[in-house]
Amino acid sequence: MDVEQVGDVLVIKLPSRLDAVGVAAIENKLSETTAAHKGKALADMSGVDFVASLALRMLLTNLKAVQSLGGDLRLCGLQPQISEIFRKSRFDTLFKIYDDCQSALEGYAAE
Amino acid sequence: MERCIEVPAEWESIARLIDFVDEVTGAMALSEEQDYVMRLVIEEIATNIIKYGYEDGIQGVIQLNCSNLRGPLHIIIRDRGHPFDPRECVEPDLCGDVQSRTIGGLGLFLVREFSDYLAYHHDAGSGWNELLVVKG
Repeated sequence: MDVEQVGDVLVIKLPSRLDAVGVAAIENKLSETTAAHKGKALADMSGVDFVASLALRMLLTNLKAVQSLGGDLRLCGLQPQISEIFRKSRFDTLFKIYDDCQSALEGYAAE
Repeated sequence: MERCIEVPAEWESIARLIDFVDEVTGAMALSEEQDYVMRLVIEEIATNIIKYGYEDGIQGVIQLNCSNLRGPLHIIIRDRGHPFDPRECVEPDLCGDVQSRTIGGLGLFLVREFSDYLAYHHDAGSGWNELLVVKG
């Protein structure tokens, strides 16, 4: 999991496999990083080719935590299969989702 | 092609099952959708068996059989824990907002949504549960 700051946005590049093993490897670091930053966060999911319910739980937990601190966690770059998971689970109604990092950063900047 | 594995019903086995899927998907030349469903099914169902299937202190097992001998991908997961039919699991709440949304039941919901066919059988005599998932 790579993290970089672009302006006031924390951009987190998520690893390809967010299965049980992948989630266990990053969930603590992800929650610590987003909680410490408090503000605008963006999870770049362009490299992610698998999510299941554990990954959805992790993302929702982080969204709740960061929103309660006054920030937000947005997503970008979902591959078609991942988009389908978000659509069926209606997670696409919980997160602001952008096609790519650039449009997500522009979205944040326009506010 | 047909492959099978048996693992103890414990958290450490999830990594072994994922390694097994990596081997099988490469060898079976599955479609992207079949590959995804196989990972989804194994993660969600195995996790469920490990969490809820066996009484504490019982050394349970999970057996997994994957085959595409008859064309579509057939995944069979067997355990001897509590009988549980994933087809009868309550629908998850998909409507809440961020703060109220819960994700109980979401894993099995995704398995049902992405599979073509699910069949479940509990054999009262032997105690085995068998779940068949088919993806064309």
